Amino acid sequence: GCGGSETTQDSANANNSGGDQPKAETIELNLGHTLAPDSHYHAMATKLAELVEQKSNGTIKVTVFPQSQLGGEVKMIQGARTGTVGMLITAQAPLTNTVPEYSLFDLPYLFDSIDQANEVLDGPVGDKFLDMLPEHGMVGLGWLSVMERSVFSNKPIKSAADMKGFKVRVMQSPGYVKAYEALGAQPTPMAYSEVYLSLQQGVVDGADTSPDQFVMDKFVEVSKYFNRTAVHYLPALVVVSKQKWDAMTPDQQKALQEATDEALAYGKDYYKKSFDESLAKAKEAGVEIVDTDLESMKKATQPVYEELLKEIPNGQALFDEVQAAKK
Amino acid sequence: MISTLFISLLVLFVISVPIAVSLGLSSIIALSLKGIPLITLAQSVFESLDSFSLMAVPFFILAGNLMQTGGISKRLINLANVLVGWIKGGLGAVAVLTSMFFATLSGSSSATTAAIGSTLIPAMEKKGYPRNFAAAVCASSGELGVIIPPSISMIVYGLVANVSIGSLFIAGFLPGLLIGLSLILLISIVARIRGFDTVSSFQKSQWLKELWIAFKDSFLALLMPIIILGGIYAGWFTPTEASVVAVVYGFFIGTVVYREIRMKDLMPILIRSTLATSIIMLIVAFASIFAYILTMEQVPHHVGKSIAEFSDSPVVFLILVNLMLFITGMFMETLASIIIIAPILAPVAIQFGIDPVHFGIIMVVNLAVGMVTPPVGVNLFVACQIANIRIDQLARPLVLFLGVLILDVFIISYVPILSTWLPSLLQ
Amino acid sequence: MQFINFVDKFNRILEILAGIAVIVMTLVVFLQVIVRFGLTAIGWDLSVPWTEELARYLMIWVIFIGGAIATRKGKLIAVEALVVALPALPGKLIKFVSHIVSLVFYAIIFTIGLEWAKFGLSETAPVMKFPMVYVYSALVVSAGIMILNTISFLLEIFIKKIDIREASVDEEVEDALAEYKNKGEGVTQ
Ligand code: NA
Ligand code: NA
Repeated sequence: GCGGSETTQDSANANNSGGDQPKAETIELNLGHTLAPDSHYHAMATKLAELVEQKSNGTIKVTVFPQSQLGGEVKMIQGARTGTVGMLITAQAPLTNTVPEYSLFDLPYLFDSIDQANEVLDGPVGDKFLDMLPEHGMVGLGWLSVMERSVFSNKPIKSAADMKGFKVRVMQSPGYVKAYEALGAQPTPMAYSEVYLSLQQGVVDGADTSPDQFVMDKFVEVSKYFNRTAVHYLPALVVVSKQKWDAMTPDQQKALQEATDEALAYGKDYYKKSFDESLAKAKEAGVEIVDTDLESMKKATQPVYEELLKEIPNGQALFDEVQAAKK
Repeated sequence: MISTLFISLLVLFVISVPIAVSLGLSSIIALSLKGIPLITLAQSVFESLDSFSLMAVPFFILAGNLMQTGGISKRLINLANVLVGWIKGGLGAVAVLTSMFFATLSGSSSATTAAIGSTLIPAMEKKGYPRNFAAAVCASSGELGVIIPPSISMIVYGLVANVSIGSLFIAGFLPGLLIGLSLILLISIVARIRGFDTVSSFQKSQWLKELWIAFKDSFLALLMPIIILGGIYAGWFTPTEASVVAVVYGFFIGTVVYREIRMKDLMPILIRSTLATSIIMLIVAFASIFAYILTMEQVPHHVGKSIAEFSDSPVVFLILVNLMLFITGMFMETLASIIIIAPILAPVAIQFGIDPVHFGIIMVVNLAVGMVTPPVGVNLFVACQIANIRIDQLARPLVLFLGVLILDVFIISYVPILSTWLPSLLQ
Repeated sequence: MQFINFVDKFNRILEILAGIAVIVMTLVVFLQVIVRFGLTAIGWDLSVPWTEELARYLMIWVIFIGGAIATRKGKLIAVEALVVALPALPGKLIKFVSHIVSLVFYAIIFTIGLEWAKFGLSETAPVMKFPMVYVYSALVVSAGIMILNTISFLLEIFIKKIDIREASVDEEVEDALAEYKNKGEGVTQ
């Protein structure tokens, strides 16, 4: 619905580049992410590519590479820092190797809902975290929706008591491991590609993920329950290589930022829709959706806060800021 | 850019620069041309090696070496001999059957060839088999080492194409059985026509007694695949963990039960396994940067498109794949071929509606034939060294075996249910 | 020659270190199985998240050190079809060129490896929390040893007047035959 205004902008840019100002060099950016082409990551990324082409008057070309084609998130982050990867969408967790402050988001039950988490990240707290990136060779353009991670399994998890002795595959970040340990579960390291068979065969009792990936990666076929445990809200963000960013003209930077902002809003809506649709699809596929008693879970995981915050630089202060921003 | 990449790779291959070096160096040339910082190479290399699933490779290699030293192979030969040694062409059948047993313990084909060849080539010669025929039997049945699980080729394919290694393992069973039975059939027909290895006397009561003794003697060796593979499918552990269990079990049997591994044997076994692992893994490592450049240049996409323009029939696609893998297998080592080709072809295969597990089996079986085709074929080298003959002396009997193996490749390629049925039972 | 003797002793030490690392890898991953499979069964819940990480990093070191040791005897897999098919002189010449090309490659990897090790200072291991330079420096160390070993390999060929085409050892064939050679079984003419 904003076609009109964009046309004027286009012609304005065209005038600029044709006039006395030096013509901006065309910049090609590879944008990598790890999810499937029907994911909200990809929807957001293709939208961004389309928008930035318009807004930059064709001087920024973004090519999207889904499904880890440019490597996993750790490698893409390294690539952005050294200038080999232009842009990426990454979850927060892989950034903690480089920016330890980001470990804050590994805390269990840091947020109460997707909306609340998104609001906090779109405010000053989120900006503060984005501002930590340039000194590590990256520029953060904004936050995509957080992903609510719950446990899918072959045993129902009605309350924290059901987690006792539960073999669960989770990311090997201390925040995840400690949280599940506190619940009495046994977090197990395992390659993601082996989770399907392992769950089917009972090597593990369950694993944690967001509903959309639960459906997309076909875990519905091997799970009886999707337990709404919502232990973690995993933030995701759009990062551009600082080297590439610095090579852009201010106009290009502005175009990329605007395109990203618009695409992020679109991506957030997309995630919400696919979140609800995925839960419906899982139910259709015969998976029982369990509303876990969150109070018992929160209570059981509370004791790990102190230990985890000690490990994070500025941990307590950052935590307090998040709490204040939650209102 | 892409032509520079492939031409430099080909030139380096041809002038006998190591495969790992060729992959790395041609990638460095391509990166420089594109103005991409060379540190990308390090990022790719470390990402590819920093994988828990990959650890199954060193562990299955080590387990195979422990088993070879630990006296398990001769017990398996003994069992196979009692089982089928009395039929016409029986000793050849023993070689195949032992390969099948041994394949359930070992992830590698050359180890399988050596384990059976060193005992059975001389034994076959005594029973009237021409020596080159005996060597051809061992070389060709050795390829079962990577087709019957566990399999290092399958682990690497699973990692490169992002397919469950557990599913690939179980999918390999029936194709392995098919190849084993077809080889036994061929051997007994040839033995009948040429009149060697005639039937020995057969008494049922005597036979049962011998069978029981041989079974008891090899019981712990037979238990191993049940623990390893059973353990994966019963949900005790993942394929990677199974590989470490195989190491511990093989060590235990070799040192405590059969007592054929002494402490002074241990370090040499470890070092041999380490070197074998490293040599393979360096290829995995440097192939990753090569594959990364291919992806950035969207080569799999273009290959898929041009194949689709050529024909939209999966059968035509598979025929092209079969042909290409056969030719590649003649010159290249199996794992290197998988690492280079799988990232290009696996996505295309999915577009053609081919099950990724089935496609993995096609690649593994097809390239395994390469271990038996001259000029470069590791099973041939091993068998020839044991038999003390030259490769060209092996050529005539080999043609028959290759004919059968190629037929098997076609059956496995065009009858997907052979590969997909067992994995589907798990659902 | 003294230099070659020294290099061989050095490689021997590396071999033993790599062998020990493989033992540790085995024990650590086996511990993980025991903990999840065994101890859970008896109701003892424990988690050992460091096992996986430690094993992975050890494997990386083992691969780079093992790969470097392999270059001492020219054991890296290569396609030898042309070199074998050609007459002696061009065959030898091409084989020599291929070793020089490898040396150039190792030198480039050495410089990339240095930069990479430096990059490792700015990352920490997710579970064990040490700087990744301890892992990333495997590349530069390996490249250094490869240079040393390839030079020794060429020197040895030159001094002992070995046919360069036959100097390389095919590790997979050697490995498969190791047991059979040990026992001296098999066929004699
Ligand atoms: Na096998
Ligand atoms: Na071959």
